[in-house]
Amino acid sequence: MPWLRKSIFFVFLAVYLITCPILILYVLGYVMRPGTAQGMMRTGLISLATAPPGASIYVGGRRYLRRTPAVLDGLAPGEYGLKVILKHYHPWVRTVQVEGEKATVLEKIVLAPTHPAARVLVPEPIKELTPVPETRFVVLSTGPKIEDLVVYDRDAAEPRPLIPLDSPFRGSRVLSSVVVNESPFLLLRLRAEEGEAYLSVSLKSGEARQADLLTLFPGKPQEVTWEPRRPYQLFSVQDGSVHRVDLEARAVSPSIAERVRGFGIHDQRLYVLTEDGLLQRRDPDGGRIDTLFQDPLPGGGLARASGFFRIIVLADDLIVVLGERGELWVSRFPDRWIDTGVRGVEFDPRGERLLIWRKDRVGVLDCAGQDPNPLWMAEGGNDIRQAFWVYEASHVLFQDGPAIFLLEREPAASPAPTSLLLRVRAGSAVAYAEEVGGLYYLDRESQALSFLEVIPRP
Amino acid sequence: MTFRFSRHGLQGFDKRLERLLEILPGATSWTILVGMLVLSFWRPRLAAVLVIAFDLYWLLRLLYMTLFLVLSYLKLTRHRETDWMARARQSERLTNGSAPRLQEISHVVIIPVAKESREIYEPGIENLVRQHWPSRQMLVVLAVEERAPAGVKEEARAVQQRYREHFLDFLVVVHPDGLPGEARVKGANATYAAKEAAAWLQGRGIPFERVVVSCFDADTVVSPAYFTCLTYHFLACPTRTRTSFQPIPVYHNNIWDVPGFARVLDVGASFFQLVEATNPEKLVTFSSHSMSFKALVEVGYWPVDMISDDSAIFWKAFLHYEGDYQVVPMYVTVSMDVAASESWRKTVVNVYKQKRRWAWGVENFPIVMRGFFRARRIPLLAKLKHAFKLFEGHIAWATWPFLLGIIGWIPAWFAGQVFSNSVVYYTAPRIAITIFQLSSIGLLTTVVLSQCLLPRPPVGRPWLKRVGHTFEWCVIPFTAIMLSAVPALDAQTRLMLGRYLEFWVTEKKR
Repeated sequence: MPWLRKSIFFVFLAVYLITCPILILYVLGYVMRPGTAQGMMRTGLISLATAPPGASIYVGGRRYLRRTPAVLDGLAPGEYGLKVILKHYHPWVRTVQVEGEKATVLEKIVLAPTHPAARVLVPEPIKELTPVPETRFVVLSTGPKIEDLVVYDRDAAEPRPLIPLDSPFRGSRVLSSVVVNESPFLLLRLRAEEGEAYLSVSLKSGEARQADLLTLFPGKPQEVTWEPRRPYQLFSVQDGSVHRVDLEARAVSPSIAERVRGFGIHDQRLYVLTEDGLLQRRDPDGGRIDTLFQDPLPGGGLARASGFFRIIVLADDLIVVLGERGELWVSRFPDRWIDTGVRGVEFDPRGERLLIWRKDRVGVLDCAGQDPNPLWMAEGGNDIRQAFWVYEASHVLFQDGPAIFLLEREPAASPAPTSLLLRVRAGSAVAYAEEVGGLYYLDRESQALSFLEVIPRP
Repeated sequence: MTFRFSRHGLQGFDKRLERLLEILPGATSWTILVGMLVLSFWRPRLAAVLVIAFDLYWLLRLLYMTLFLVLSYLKLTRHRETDWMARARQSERLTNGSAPRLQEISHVVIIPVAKESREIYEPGIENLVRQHWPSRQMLVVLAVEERAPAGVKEEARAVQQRYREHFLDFLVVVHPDGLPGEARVKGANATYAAKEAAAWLQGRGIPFERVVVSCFDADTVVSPAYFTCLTYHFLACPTRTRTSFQPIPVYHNNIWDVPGFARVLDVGASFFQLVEATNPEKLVTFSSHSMSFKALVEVGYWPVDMISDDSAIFWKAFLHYEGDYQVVPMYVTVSMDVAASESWRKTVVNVYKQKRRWAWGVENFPIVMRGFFRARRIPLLAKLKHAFKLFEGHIAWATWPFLLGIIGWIPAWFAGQVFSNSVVYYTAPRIAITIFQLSSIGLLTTVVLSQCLLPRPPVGRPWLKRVGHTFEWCVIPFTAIMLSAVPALDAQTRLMLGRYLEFWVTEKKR
C-alpha cells in the first residue's frame, strides 16, 4: 500500500497546486477570459434580493437564469442596465455601476405592487389615529369622549375599548394625550364633571390609574414623559421645574430640578438643559449632577434660542437636543446643528444615522461620519409630518399632507424616484410597524383603519 | 546512539533547547488561531483567501484519508478471515531457520493496573486463555501500583491464582511508589514489571530475541487471533527485533453504554489509526501494542517519567537505533473501553481528560527533536518527514476544528463595510459551503463504515435507536472543537507554559 499511498498523494498534491490558485483568483473576482491581454479579467458582482423574492432578473436586456435572491458574478467592470420583474408588481429598473473586485449590493429592493391591496381592519369611520411607536398598539378615536377611544392590538388583530364599560371616567372629554416610544401606556388629560384629571391607561389591560397631577400643576405642563419600563413614574416639566410623580406610591417629588429649559429621560437618568446653557445628567431624584456640555448650541446659541427643548438620548455618547422651533443639535464631533425647522427625528442604531424631516424635506444625518451636514433625500414637500425608517433602514417612508411616499435611502446609481404609495385621511397620523413591514392608516374615503403591506412578504 | 529520552536532568544548552522546543507547538497553534482571528478583522480579504486555501487543502486531505480508510477497512475485513496460525507455520518453514521456531517464541503480556478493579482487567485475561495461540507460551504480568488500594492488590492475587495454570506463568508485580527518577506514570509501572519479567526469562534461559512483549491497557480485550497474527508478523519481519507491532485499537467494550458523542469520538480515533496503518513508513505506536522484548531491554524500557509512554517507546527506539526501527501495522483489533462515567456530565469531563492525555503526546516533540539534532546516522529526509508529521499532527489537532468551525467564518460574520462590498465577501462563503458539501462524501463514508465496524447492539435495542446512532455524527463539529481541539490546545499550552501534566487514570465504567 505505501506505493499506492505515495502515488495518490502526488495526484492530490497536483490537484491542490492547480486548483488552489484558480479558486483563489475566482474568489478575488478574477476569471479566465481567453483573448484578453493576460488571459485573465478582473470582475465584479451584483448581489440582488427583492421583497418579495422570486423576481426575474434582466441584465442588459438578457434574462438571467436565476431569480432573486441571486448573486450575478463574473461581470466585467462597467455600467449595466438592470431590470427586476415580478408579476403583479411594478418593474424595478436601474442602471448599475460594477467595479472590478467590488460587489454592488442591492439586497433591499422593495417591489411596489401594481394594485396595492390594503386590508380594512376596523370598518367603522375613525376620526383620529394615535400611533404608539415601537409597540403593537395604535389608539383610535371615534369621538371626543374617553369611551370613544379604541385600542387596536396588532397581535389580537381586533379593536377593543380603551377603558372598561363600567369605568368611572366614562363621559369625560379627552383634551390631549401623550405617548412614549416603546411604552404601551397612554396618558390622557380629561375634563370630567369634577374638573380636569390626568389618567394613565395601560393599552394591554385597559387598567387605568388616575394621576393626581392637577393638584400640583393646575396648568398644562410643557412636557410629561416616563421611561417605558416605569410607566407609573411620571416626570413633568412646568415653569422651568421638573417634578416626579409616582402613581403606585401616590407620592410626589416636586421640583427635583429647576431652571430647566430642556428635558429628557434615559436609563433612569434625567437629562436637563439649564437656563445657563448646561446640558446635565442627574439621578432620578435630581441629585448627583454631571455636566455633559456647556451651552451645546454653537456660538452660545442657547441664550438666543427660545422655547422648550426635548432631549433625546440615543446612546451614552449620542444625545439629540430638539427645540420647539426645530433647532437640532447632535452631540457628536463635528457639531451637527440645524438652526430651525426640524419637525422630528428617528434613529437607526445599526448605521448610527438620524432620519430628520422638516416641513418640506426629508434627510439623513450621519452621526458616525465626518460630514456635519444632512443629506436631503427628498425636497419640495408641502407638509411633511412623519417619517419612518423602513426595511432595516434601507428605505424611508414619509407622510406629506395626506400623501405617503416611499424612497430608497441609497439609490443604486441613478436617483431613485420617490414613489407615492397612497393617500390617507387628511390630517390624520399613520403608524408604521417594521415587524410586519406595513402601514396602519385611516382610509381617505371611508376613514376605516386600514393596513397596507409596504414590504411584500413571500 | 546513547540518548537520554527525558526532559529531566538536562543542563545548559540542552535544557534551553528543550524549553524552546516545548514552547514551539503551543506558540504555533496560538499564533495560527490568534493570527487568523486578528487577520479576520484587520485584513478580512486576506483572511478569507487563506481560509479558502486551507478549506481546499482540508477537503483533499479528507478525501485522501477517506480513500485509505476504505482500503484499510477492507483489509481489516479480509484479515478477519485469515488463519494466522497456518500462515505463521508457513512463515516458519519459509524462514528456514533464520527465525525462531513457533514453539520457541514466548509472549510477555504486561497489564498495568493503577486502581482498576478486577471487572476491568479480568475479561482481557480470560480472553488471553481463549487465544488461538497456546496460552502456555504466554507469560502474563499484572503490574500493580503499590499505591493502589489494598483491595486491588488482593484482587490481583486472586486473579493470579485463578489463571496461573493456563499460562507459562502469571506474575503479580507490585511497583514501589516513589522510585528515584520516576514520575507517577504508567510507563514507570510497566518498566518495573518488564524488568521483573526479564529476570524471570533470564532465570529460565529464554533468549530475549525470541520474546515478544505486549503492553496493554487494563481494559484491553484483544481479538482471539491477536497473538497468532502477532507471531506471524514477528516471524515474517526480517528486522523483527527492531520492530513494534501496532494493532488497530477499537473502543467496543462498552460502546453501547456511553453517550453518543463519546462513541463518535472514539470511533473517529479508531478510524484515524486505520488510516495511519496504511502508512507504515511514518507509523508510530499508540495505546496497546507489541514489540520485541530484546529491543525493549536494549532501549532501556519505557520512559519512566512521561505520560505518553505508548508513542514515546517508538521514538526512544527510533533514536536508540538511529532510525533503524519501524512499526508494522497489524490488521487485527484490540478493544478497549470508551472513557465513561455514571453521568453524562462526568463522561464529558472524563473524555476531555482522556483526550488531553492523548494530546499530551506532544511532550515527545521537544525530546525527539533534540534527539534528531544529535543523531547523525538518521537520514535528513527521514528526520524531516518524521519531525513534520509529529509537529503538523499536533498543530492540526489543536487548530483545524477551530479554523473549520469558527474562525473560518468570522470574516463573513463580522464583515466591515469595505469587505462586505467586495467580491470576496460573496464568493468566499459560497466556495466554503461547496467545499463542506463535498466533504460530506468523507463524512457519509465514515458513517457507513462506523456502522460496519461497530459490534452488534445489545439484543432488544429498538431499531429506531439504532438508526439514531447514525445521526450521532451530526455532533462532530461540536465535539471536534470541545473534546478534541480544546484538550489538544490545553495540552500544548501547558507544555508551552511549563505546567506539566500529571498522569490521570481514565475512569472506566462497566
